Parts: sequence; structure tokens; C-alpha cells
Amino acid sequence: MLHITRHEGGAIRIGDDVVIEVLNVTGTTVRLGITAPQSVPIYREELWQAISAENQASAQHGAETAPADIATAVDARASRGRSQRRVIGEQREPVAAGER
Amino acid sequence: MTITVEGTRFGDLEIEPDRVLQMPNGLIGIPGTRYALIGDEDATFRWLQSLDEPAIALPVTDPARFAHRIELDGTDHAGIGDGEILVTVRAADRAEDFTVNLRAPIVVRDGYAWQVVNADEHASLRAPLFPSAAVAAQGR
Repeated sequence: MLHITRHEGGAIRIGDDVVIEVLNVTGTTVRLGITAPQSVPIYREELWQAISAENQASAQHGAETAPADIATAVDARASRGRSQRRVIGEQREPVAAGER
Repeated sequence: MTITVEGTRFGDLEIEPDRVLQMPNGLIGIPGTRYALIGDEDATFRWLQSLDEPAIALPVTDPARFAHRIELDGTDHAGIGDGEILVTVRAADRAEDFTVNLRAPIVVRDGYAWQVVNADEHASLRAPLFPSAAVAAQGR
């Protein structure tokens, strides 16, 4: 990891068009100003990690559940109370909780 | 020309070009920038199938179907504009344990899609798919 020491008002540039400026330092808190093209997404690290984990879980759990199971289990539930009931995929016997 | 994706969990898929979604920034933490929305447009659930990584497919849904409101004020997806909003689904054994990610919805527009960060810090990464009142009323 590259370490760079900067004072308040100092900045670093990453590539041609990303600039990170140290706006101010208060105690242990640093306020940063970031200038980057709109095509460059910027995330707080912990949020990036959380969303990444959630995306992986969605792909993982989705892979462990048969598409038809998801469609019927949830569609049946979602359509209760609606006048119209749509059935997607083949109907299956519901899997008891904890059976797998 | 039809795109063939081999070895997906749905078998070998034939994807019509108009189903292809370019995701310039990909899905956060998942490699690949080309996806396809598969499934009937009216279906409660569709799948965001990666065209770059056949093994990757995420179930998605329209949050409005489950009375989840998402408002994007534009600051987090400047330049993207309005589009269809989808959220990823975390499946579970029981329907009432399904959750959706309201913090990082996916905006779909004109063959492109972006996963954006909801500016509402209270938006849950794991919101119950079914609002609790509905689940309680339906019981099991």
C-alpha cells in the first residue's frame, strides 16, 4: 500500500481525472473532497463491502433454490389478497422449513 | 444475433440482443459488465443472468410489488435519470425469510443498468420481502 502524508488543503491525484483533497482534519476525523468523473463510482468502504456481500449472497442463495421453487413459493404468497393469481412454472409441493 | 450462454443454472441460454443489459460498473463486488434480464416481464421474479460468468444469476424483483418504496433523489445516480427500479432478492427456505436489498437498487434504462446506492441511510440491505404485517396476517 502506498503511503502519502498530506496536510489540510493538500491533495493527491489518481490518474488524470481523480483528485482527492484533504478538506480538514478534526481530531481523528478527516474530511475528504473527491473530484472524479461520473463514470467512476465512489463508495464508503464499509458500504461497498456490505453491498458486495449482499450481492454474493443473492447469487449464492438463488443458486441453491430452484427457480421454480422461488417462483411458486413467493408468487403464491404475493398473490394472496389479489384478485388475480398468476402461476409461474410448474406447481410444486411446498418444501417444509428445515427439511433441507 | 442471438447470444448463447452455456452452462448457466438454467442450462444453455439463448439471449435475444434486446435482452442484454450493459452494466458499465457491474454489480458491486461481482465481476462482469454484461447481464441479461431473463424471465417473463410480468413475472414477480426475474433473473439477472451474467453473460460473462455463466454461473452467476441473481433473482430480482420490482420492490413496488411488495409495497417497498424507493425514492432516488438523483444525487447518487446523476446522469442515469429515471428508469425501471429492481432490487436483488436473497432467497431462503421459507418465503417469509426472503429479503430484498433496498440500499443498493438497480436502475434499468435503455439497455443499460446501474446498481446505485440509495441515499436514504435507513434503507435496509436486508428488508423482509413481505412487509411484516402481511406475513403475520398470513401466518403459516
